[in-house]
Amino acid sequence: MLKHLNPTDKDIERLALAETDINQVQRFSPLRYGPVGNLAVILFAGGLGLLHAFALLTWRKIHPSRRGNIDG
Amino acid sequence: MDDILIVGSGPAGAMAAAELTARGLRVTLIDYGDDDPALRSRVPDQPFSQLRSGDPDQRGYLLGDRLEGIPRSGTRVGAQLTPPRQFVNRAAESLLPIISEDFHPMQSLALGGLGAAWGTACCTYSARECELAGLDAAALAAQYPGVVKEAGISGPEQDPCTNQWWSGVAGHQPPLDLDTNSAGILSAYQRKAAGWLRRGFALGRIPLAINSVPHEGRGANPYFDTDFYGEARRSAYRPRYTIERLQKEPNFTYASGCLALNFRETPAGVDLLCSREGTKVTFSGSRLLLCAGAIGSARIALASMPLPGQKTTLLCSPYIYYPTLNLRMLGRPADDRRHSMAQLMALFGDLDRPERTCSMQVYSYRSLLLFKIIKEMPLAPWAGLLAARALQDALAIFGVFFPDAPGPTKTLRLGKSNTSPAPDLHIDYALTPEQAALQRGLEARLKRCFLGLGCVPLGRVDPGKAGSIHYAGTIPRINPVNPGFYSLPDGRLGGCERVFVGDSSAWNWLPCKGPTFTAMAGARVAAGHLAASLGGRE
Repeated sequence: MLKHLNPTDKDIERLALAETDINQVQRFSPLRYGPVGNLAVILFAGGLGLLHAFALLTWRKIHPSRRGNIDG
Repeated sequence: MDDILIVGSGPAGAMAAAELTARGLRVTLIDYGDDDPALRSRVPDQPFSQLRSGDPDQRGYLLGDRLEGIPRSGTRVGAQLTPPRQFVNRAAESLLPIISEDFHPMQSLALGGLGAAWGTACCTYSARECELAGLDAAALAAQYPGVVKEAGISGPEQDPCTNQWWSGVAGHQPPLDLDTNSAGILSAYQRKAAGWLRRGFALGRIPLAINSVPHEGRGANPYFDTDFYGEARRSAYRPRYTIERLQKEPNFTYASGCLALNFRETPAGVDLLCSREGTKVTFSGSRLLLCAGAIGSARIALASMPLPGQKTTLLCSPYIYYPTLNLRMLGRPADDRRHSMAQLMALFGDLDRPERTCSMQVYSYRSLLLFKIIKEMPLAPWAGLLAARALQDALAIFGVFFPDAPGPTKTLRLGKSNTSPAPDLHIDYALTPEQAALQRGLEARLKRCFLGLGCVPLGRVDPGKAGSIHYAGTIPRINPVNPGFYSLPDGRLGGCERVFVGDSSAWNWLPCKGPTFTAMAGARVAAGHLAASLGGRE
């Protein structure tokens, strides 16, 4: 069921283009805050990101014609 | 008329051609030979980290000029190929039609076949595995060193799978250096190795067809981590290198642009009908060796044999992969100096019974870019990116392969095509309930092993039924689906005098270990039988 929350093809294309843009490479560099720091980042991103993705999916279900990305 | 015809330039075809040419026989290798040298040569000869931070043209080879390197929803097998390697299955998609609900194999009409994207893992088979597969263990053991010399193999002196010793074999090289991630996993294993072995879990370095020192005109791997994209110093073996070498020999001819369709035995030899740029071309030879891959060879043989049903069996290793978080690497820097291929190999299960064992290859993850990981995360893109950046250096991917046995639920049937000169193949493939139960049981226990090594499983990814790209058993010694369609122990196709099968089509059973290295040795065995049938020395 969680698969429904995966980013869309459009999201992935946007990320792929940014990742191979030499001016944005820094945005994709590894984070190295030590074991505790990185674990905290993962938990934060996982928790809040899951909620955000769920809200986004619900929004798209309610408004199927409006494909606006609330990511900005 | 003295020519020996070989179909296919993949690992088996290239090895058989090298063996027969070295014996002084006249060889014509018939191949479609798709290639993409222009894109391959665009990958700079420098470390991945440097080209990422310094090459403004990186999008061209990392994503492709038409962004074909971005996997879309519903993409079939082959999505894992990076743009410089997508020629491997490009022509096959339209020219080798497959009709199936859920089995979509990767086929190739490329120069070098599927070997052009081979992961380079070199596995030998034990006596028991050979017995199950219907292979001659002694004959294979005699041919492994020839493959080592041609391809150049780096790895431990003792093959971790079968206790074959490579010490002193020409072409055998010291193992490549492990990356930081895998070195930690191996050292955790080695601290309690005896206990792990009692639980049926064996882990070690993996023999790879990658040079750790220069060999046969090819360089040593520079540890640039670009091995999924370019051909850094030609260190990883590709069958194309053998074909290029053979093209300098007077008794070898490479006939490209040909799609082999069917053959016919004549009183004098064998005729092979091909399609070349829309017209029919016939090659004549004294013998024919089919090395078009398990599915390709079966397509040609079924189209040539007057058999009822035009049906056969098919083997494919079930494959699952587990992305895991290697806790000891979390937040710590990984060394930039590394190669991209598998770092470690493991066997798990009842180690004395290969029918109840699975194999694993352990990869780290970096040069495949983050967007591919983010695609698999059930998170909003911004969060996926943040998590992927924190995980990146600590990701260890365990690719798990299971053995496969033939059965009535795994079949391949010839049809008629409206779109290609080659016939359609209809494939039905389903695991038996016993096989599925065994797989589930092994997977459940495996997860505990990952945790014991300090690697937390983050998910389970099933790339689909044909995802392993390990195919075999379409013209086996004993065919349970179509007893009239088989190959003989000397490699000849049943019912034929002058047609031989040189690839994994001829296997009765498929071990969990990668088949390519053994298929190359098997091709040399078949080439020896073929030469003997001409009156030469075997």
